[in-house]
Amino acid sequence: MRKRVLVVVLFFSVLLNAQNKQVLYNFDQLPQTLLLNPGEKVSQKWHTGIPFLSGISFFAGSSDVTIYDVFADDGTSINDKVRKLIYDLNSNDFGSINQQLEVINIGIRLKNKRDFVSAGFYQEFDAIGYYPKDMAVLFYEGNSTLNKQYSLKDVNIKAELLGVFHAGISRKIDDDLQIGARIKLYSGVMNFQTKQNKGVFYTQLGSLNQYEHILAGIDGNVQTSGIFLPAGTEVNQAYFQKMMLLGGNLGLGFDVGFTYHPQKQWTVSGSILDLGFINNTKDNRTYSVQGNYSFQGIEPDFDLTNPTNYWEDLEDDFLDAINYTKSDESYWSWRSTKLNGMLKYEWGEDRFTDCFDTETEPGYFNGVGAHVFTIFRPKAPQIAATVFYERKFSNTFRAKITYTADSYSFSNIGLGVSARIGVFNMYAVADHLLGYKNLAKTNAGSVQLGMNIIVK
Amino acid sequence: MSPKIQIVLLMLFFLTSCMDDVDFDQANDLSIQPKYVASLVHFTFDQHKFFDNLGNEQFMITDAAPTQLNNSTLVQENLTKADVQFKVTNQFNRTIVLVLRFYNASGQQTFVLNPIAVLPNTVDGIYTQTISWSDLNNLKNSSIARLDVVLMAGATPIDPTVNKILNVQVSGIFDFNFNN
Repeated sequence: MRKRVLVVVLFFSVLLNAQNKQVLYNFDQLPQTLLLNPGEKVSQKWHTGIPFLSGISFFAGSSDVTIYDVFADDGTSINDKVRKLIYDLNSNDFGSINQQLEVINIGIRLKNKRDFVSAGFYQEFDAIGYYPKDMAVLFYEGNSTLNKQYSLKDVNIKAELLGVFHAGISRKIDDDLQIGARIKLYSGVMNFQTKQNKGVFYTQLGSLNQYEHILAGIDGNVQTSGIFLPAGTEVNQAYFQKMMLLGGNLGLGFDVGFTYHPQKQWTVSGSILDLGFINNTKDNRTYSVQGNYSFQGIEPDFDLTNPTNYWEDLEDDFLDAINYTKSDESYWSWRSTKLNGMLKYEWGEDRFTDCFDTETEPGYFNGVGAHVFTIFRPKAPQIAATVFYERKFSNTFRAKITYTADSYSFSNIGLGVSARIGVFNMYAVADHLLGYKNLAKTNAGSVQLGMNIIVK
Repeated sequence: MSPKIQIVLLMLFFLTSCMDDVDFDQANDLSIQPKYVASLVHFTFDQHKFFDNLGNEQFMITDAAPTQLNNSTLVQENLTKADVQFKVTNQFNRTIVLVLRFYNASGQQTFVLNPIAVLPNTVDGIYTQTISWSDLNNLKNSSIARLDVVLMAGATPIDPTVNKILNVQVSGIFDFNFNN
């Protein structure tokens, strides 16, 4: 079991940039682009997503390790491969998983023509964990190397499952500037976080025994919500529905964004997403430890007439020394805030736009640009840079191709297509396309799919 | 090419991607073998310890404690080798014998380490005993450990008024193998 846990930790410790939707951002005025930039320009009169099918988003990937690295049928022992990974990965490697399912997404242009309001609900699971290298090495090799210190500071994990109600407005200020904002009401189902842990474990030659095992400067905590549930709680579909639909731990967040045309064919846009928090008040459990502890073995008193419960004494001494506490106090968990920034140049004006449609601005057949994405994670921001080309093939079909580089991958090609048949729209987006030839060798892959009704 | 055909082709591209040149059955060969050291027991006492309240010399003192070995999944499934290491200083003028015994929950002895005889005036004597594979299974069925400290008979009695000590340090080196 522990071995499987180790392999899972290795894989998920290096997942990256799960929430970067560089292909979908500013793509074909899709309703979902409003969730990436509330100040996005959209031209429709109204839209509605097909419930449960309008936004399906999933990411999985790795940076320094692939499935092939571990399971390659190349004659090298899997044990040699795992050993290499254990020592090659470092404590800055991280894992991040993100999954979203849009349940409802509706939007309508107000009578004043300049405001477009949208609202909806989606479910999200988000998790990040940094590779706890010292702990992994301790498990892998044991503690027989004297005086080698294993740090707890790399133990840094955050995970949450929540439902998000949102409502936003995108306002046209003038022909060149569009701004927008969105308010989000979070309903947390589950939260787990442990961060800012400190301290080391090591073994040295002892003074009372051959070895002395030491925990020094320990300062750690684990905060959970919705994991340790009251006895008798049935975790079923009804439970999740209740918790996601405002029955969970409530929180508040904001998105803001803008789109600006400094010149006719140039677009600059940016957004800040999920600037918010959840106040975890239900089914909480927080563990904390703080202190120092040294162990050199049990000291028997050889008095069988008054037997001592050595294990109980040992446990009491340990818990006292590290000041172990368990509580159900409430705590705040901050969402992972994201930043998007984009610069785009378009050319090839579409002269075939419906001449009776005076509301819709004429578009362009071609666009190139650059996009920067940042997500603020517990240890440090993660940054990804993208260049893209988008092409309008007709009024019903658009495509976008991207190349993205980040700290881990310089070969991420993405592709998005959006097609409209009447008012029906379907889009599909994927990146890390080079890896689809052999998924075992790819570092990452993500897919976003959706269907909408869009009325111009 | 119509949009519909392009979308279908794209979906086919995703759905027909594959994993080549990998062998997931290798997971069955994965084996992680850490080695842990742990201090277990230590004590130091003088010659008074071998006298009862009436001042009579006792030939043996003993103590016992639960081990939980039989309830530990970690030990049951993964422990492959155990070395028990004694480091003893015996300033007494008599040989001391250390016997580490293990018992199951019914009180039946499951395993005993070879007795360790520590000669008089031994300083930091090291005695290592490796528990064999077959004995490990007996060890794993144990729930109580008992340590006997035996004062061997000798020509001269020990004298509690003389300040001499017996120092015993017991530690273990444990090899684990995490595999399927």
